[in-house]
Amino acid sequence: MSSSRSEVLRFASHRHLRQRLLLAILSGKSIRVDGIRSEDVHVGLREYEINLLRLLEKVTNGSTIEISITGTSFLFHPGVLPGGSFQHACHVGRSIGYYLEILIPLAPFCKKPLDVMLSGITGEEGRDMTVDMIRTVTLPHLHLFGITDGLELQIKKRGAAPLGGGQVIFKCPIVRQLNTLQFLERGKIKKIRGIAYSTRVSPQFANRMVESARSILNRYIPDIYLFTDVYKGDDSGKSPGYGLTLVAQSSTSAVHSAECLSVAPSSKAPVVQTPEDIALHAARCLLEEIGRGGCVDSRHQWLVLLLMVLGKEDVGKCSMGSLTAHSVQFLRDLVMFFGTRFKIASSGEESGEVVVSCVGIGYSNVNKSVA
Amino acid sequence: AATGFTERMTRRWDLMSLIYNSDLSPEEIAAGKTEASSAGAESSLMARDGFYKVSRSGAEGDDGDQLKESVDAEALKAKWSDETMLESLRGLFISGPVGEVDQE
Repeated sequence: MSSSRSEVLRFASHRHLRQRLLLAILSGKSIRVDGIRSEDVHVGLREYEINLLRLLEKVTNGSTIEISITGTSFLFHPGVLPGGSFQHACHVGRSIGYYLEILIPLAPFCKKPLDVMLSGITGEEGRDMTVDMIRTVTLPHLHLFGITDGLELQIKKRGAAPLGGGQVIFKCPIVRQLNTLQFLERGKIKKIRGIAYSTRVSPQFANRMVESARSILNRYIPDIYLFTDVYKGDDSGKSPGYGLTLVAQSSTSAVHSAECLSVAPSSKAPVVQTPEDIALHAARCLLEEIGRGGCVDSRHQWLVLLLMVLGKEDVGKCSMGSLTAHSVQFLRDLVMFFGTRFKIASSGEESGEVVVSCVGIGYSNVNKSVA
Repeated sequence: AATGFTERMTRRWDLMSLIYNSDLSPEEIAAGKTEASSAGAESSLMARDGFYKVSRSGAEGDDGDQLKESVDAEALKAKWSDETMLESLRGLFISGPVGEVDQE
């Protein structure tokens, strides 16, 4: 924040676009991204990316975005975060998770508590977290840093890919400063929860998913509750779809998760998956994730890393499973925006587990008075 | 065991320098590579010039801004159909077999 606003960080390609926009807004640094799919048949920014830029324009005050004619480069000067209520129709090219993944880390630093209603696809297989995973896994990760009261994600309507029609409301309180994280004990897994959801298919599908997931997971612990969540009528969106999100919680509240959803038969994966296939795959992914170790879900490493950097000027420590490629790039980008380098040490066990530690930069939300 | 430990420590120390001081692509680092293969070095050089091409099969121009990684469902199924694999996780659960775990 102390650096001059005239400094523009330059990046290339559409890869890791959101994290750069996110870090730009939080650090107040301008970014320029060039070479966006300049070699692709379909050149430039995609519609869902333009839609994302519009959303960021909406929730910030004073941001400017200049996109080149070909759409292969843009310049972004970030504004401030006023907070308040917003509505946004997300492009169906990506699910709502794509948009929430960037909104969530911005929300605690707004001037007023954020309250956003997003409409679109609530869950899609493959790329982005479903709203169920965000509700049951991402939000608990924010609790670690003291973002708790008033934090919620309501799923009003579900909408499967490709047409969507779902609707969620995300509410987040503001914080003055984040707590310093000390999370080294992963504990032992004491319970598994899950949500089997379906829209516009036989409600029996959800029950079949629950049955199949249990066939793998029952051997480990008795405390397994898999809920079925069947949305009907207007609340079930425009497309048929079903899926299962599984969450394992340890005795120290470390959370690991996995999910799998049905794929619309028209898309590039021609295989029609049965509810049993979906559930077994999700359960195996959960075992894989548990085997990875660490105190943090692997898809949430970046979020924890970011909030550790933004924390108080004290040493935060966290044990993580082997770092994902996404996390590696995120660590590199954190250096560019905040100059913070993590100390990364092996936790001394056979797996790729690491202990990451850093000194927070003491990022504080000047809008929130000291309680 | 002592040598194993120091080896692991060096490997992890390397991880830090690989992340902050090398040209290896994030995918290569996450896969556990420590030296740039010639193709890999080229790919990360090219990434800086903005002409990054994802070489994984089935990758489209839309990939690269996502949290979830693609999983080989068949390999995963084979791995987690193995009884010893399934049993190996038992110690991570609170109800792990008595006698094997040293606590609780």
